[in-house]
Amino acid sequence: MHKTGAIRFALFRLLAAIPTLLLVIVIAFLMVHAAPGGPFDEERRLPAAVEANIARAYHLDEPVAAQFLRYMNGLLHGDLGPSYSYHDRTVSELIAKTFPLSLAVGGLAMLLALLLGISAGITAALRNGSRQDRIVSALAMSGISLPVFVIAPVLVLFFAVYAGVLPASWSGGGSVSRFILPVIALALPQIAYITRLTRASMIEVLNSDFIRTARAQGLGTATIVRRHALKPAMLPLLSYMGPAIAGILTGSVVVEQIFGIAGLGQQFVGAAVNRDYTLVLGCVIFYATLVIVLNLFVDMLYGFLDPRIRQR
Amino acid sequence: MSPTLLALAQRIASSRMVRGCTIMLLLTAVVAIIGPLLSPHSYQTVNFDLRLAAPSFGDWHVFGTDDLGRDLFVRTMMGVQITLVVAVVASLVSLIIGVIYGAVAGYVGGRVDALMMRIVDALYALPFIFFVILLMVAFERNFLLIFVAIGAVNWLDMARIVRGQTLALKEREFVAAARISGVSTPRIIFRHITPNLLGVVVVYVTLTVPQAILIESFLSFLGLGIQEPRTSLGALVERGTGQMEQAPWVLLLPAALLAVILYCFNFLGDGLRDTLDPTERNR
Amino acid sequence: MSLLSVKNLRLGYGNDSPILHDLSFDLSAGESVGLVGESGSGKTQTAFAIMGLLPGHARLQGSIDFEGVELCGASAAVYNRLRSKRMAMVFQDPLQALNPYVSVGKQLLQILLEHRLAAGKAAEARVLDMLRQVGLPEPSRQYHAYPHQLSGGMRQRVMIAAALLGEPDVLIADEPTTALDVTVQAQILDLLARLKARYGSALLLITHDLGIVAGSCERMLVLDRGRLIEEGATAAIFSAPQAVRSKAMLAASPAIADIDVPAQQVFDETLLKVSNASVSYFMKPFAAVWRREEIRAVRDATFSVAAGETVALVGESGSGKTSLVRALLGLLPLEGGAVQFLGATVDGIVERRAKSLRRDMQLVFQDPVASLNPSMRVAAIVAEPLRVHALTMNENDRNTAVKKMLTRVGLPADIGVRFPQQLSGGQAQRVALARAPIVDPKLLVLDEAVAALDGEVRGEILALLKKEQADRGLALLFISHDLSVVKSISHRVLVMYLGRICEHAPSRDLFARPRHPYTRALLDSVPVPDPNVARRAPAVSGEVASVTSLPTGCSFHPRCPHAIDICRVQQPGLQSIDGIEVACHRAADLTL
Repeated sequence: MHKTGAIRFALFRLLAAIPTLLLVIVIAFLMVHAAPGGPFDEERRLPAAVEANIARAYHLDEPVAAQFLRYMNGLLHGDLGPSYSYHDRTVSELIAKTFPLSLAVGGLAMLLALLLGISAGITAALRNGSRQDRIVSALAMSGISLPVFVIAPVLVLFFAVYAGVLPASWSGGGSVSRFILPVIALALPQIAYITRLTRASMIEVLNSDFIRTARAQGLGTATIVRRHALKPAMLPLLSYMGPAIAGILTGSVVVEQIFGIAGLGQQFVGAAVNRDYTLVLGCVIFYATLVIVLNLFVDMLYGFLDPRIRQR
Repeated sequence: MSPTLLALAQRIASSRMVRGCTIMLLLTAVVAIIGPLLSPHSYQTVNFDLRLAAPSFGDWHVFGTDDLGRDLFVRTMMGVQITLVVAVVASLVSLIIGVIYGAVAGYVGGRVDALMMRIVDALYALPFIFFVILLMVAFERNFLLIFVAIGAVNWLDMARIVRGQTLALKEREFVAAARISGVSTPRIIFRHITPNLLGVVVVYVTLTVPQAILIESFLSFLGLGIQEPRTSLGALVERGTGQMEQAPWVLLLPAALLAVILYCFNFLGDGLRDTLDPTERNR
Repeated sequence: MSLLSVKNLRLGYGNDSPILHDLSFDLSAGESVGLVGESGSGKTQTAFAIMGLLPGHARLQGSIDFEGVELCGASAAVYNRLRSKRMAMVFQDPLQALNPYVSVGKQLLQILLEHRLAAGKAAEARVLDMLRQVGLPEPSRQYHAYPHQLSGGMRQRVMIAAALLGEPDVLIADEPTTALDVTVQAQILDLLARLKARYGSALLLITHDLGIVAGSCERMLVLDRGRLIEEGATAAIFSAPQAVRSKAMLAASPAIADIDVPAQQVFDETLLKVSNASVSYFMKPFAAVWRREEIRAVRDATFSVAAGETVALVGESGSGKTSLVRALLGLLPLEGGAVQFLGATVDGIVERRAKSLRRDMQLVFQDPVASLNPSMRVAAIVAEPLRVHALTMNENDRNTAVKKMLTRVGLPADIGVRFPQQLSGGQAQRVALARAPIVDPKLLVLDEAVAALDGEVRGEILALLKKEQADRGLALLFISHDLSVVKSISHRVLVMYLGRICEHAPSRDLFARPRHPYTRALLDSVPVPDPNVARRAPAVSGEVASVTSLPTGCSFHPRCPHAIDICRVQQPGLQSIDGIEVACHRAADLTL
């Protein structure tokens, strides 16, 4: 088989990701620079000399192009510059401190969503048109219609305030129990999306001619699903992973706010409100890189799973 | 009427759930417009004697009052109005950008198409919501900006779909037949391609609206959207979250309404999409 | 003792009118039965009913008895004890019917494992043996291939291997050769007959082609709109059909030898002159990044069409006939050579051509429904060329012209308000045939224009074309893979193989005495609708080479039974022998 083809394919994807990333950095950088005001505006008027000193310290007196080049140079060395609002802290340090928490909550939510979504989707597809299918479909439709910021407070209201079985906030919970509500809140919409997607693609695959052939050959349902239908039905789900990751990131901003989790999402919103532009820029670039890298990974997985892409 | 629109209309008429959702949305819109006019209360009158009052018909506080004693019914209806207006206008913005971009890329084809679609791919990879947040923070908040921000996020899907359809239509034999018959390019675009895009566009606008609602309420929830004393459903949910322990209705009523509106739009869009895509239908 | 007994079978969906009415027939061990009928007659639905493959909402009544087991309404468990081991099915389109994500060997292996017919190394050996039996070259390598890597004929061989793996007593083949080229069709029919005999299976062969039934089945069943209208020995039905519809169907498919060629005439006014035309286009291989493969679709085509004449362009997949036509019409650029139409040089894309030239050359497509805009009404579709070319015409005159044209092609005038989706296949093709000639063109190009139509409707459309030609002196360029159709309508024939014209002759000469081995093979591959004529062995082996990797020398040499050394290295040019042009090194010394 054509191993070189697969490697070339992967290499091309990798190369194609670089301009995308560059575009993100340029757009983010320019937007931040076009934004009026800075973190020091809100404070009382500083003497001109001090202001000039600050500007020099942060290289704000240089032309934009020079600032950009300086920033890019730092970026290549993993340096996202100093934070405006957290003095003595670099943006890289702040991200490194807050990201692991977001990753834990987001990763668990994604895992839960995949597990439940795929099983519910396949179950509904196999019983297409039955009552179970209609119930699953209706629940999934409700799931995509309930935003995270509605689900999260309602969950807190019922499970923490009324029933009192789970902690309402991060700081008030045990090391395991405090994960439960945020992870569920974050996962619910994704469970709904993944269920719908799995169900739809599984039904489409099950209706295809080659599944009819498998049935004509007397293969049982379990064999048909496992050996014939599963792989093609999962491919659209793979394409959905990009938007799903973006959805989890967006949701984490809300969930961290509601449960008071000191993760990257909360840090980002805080930075935006405080006009800590280097931190905002750093977060955006970090997120974008994350999404692009994960998309790249998904793309390669896709190429690996689909024989028509793999072998040419 | 064109056959696609006719089929969509028939779909609404024939499925009980799709019809129910359409009626529900129309009803919500009508109540949201008329309700505040009939109510004796205003959306901004503060009444500290009547904070967090439970819903009652006695003094026409049918949804109760919020933490400043303002009538929650009138405020919620205002939220519905603003949410719907923002969503519809933002969808139109994304529709216009998306259709023009997609149709041009699809019909011109070749390298232009390849370049235009690489840009869309690149934009897809961006965590766009963070740019929207950046946008909302960096610039003066105003209503117009919300439309632009949401439209800017949502046009990508529309552009991809329209481009795909245009490419497919361009290769269809009836377009070749028209070209051979001597039909001019503008007439081909307007008589042969655009009418056949209509169904897809209508359906995807229906699906874009709930997405726009989600983004708007997300921004409002973070305090980056609509500003007090005006309000939207997202902002109401945010305020309600703070009060939910003493007065759960302040959270639950706007939240439920938001969920119902989103549900109806999603269901309607889904139902309409089935008419275009017969594979999903044959059970 | 019958193996399979179908009694009073009725099938319907929802409240729609039933698809099968009271169908009853038997199938005995080892026999070959043909199930024939036009499209929509319920042939495939019958097969699906027997195999238990109908969708869940189908309403099936009656009885399907398989050696005492009742299958009508049987559960999947009951069916799965029979499928593969007792009954199996070969589907029409092997590309769709094989799983693109699973290698060929694994798809076959699963059948053995599921039914516990073999295990481990023995199972693999059995799969390899079966792949060898169906004639797959290098079975141990192809075992790991995916369906998209195989040619159409090879895929159908794999499909047959899968069906015979469990050595079933009943084999149902649903139009097994319809998706294949005619020269490959003969090979697949031959394979089916050989393996059926070897495994002693009964064969239910579903087809619309009476020639296939005549050559492969002892008994036949004729289905018409869900009703069994005739049943009996194939020979008896062919010699004395009883039902009116069977008579009509038989009359609509005469043996190619019995078809008369149109009377020879002298045509002197040349309309279209094509000299050394070459067409190439680029194709991006699936998932390729930068690489584009050049497809050299047509090389050095030279021919002409005169006013009032019908010239046929014949070839299988990859012959380049469609690319040539698209280039003539300006839908594809011409890479080399020249095209002259009405004395003027035409080149470039259609939009850059003079309006009068565009009016005088019109096209009718293969798929009538796809060539009609689904959002326009029939009247508007037919009127459109008038809007462009008859600018002085007013609305009223246009409506009158459209009505007249619709009547002329045998459609009710009130059909104008309908949309294309509301038409039957035959009606849609008539609409397409009303649109193209409405501006009174001089040349009508027909790209497989009757391929999608059933026998009788096809006959009517062909008659209509001949009438138009006689009335207006219309020239026809007729593209087809179906030699019977070509013989009945064309004055001259061009045979193409892998982008080159290999024979160019008056119809009378070509059908009486082909000069090129490929033409001979094509003629011999057409099934003869006469049960008394023994089915011939496949005329040629192998399949058309891929257009992306053409053979050296003469493109046909790998399949040619007469190939000699020079054929492998040197491309033969067209040479003229007795007024017939033929591109074969051995044209002079071969008597085919």
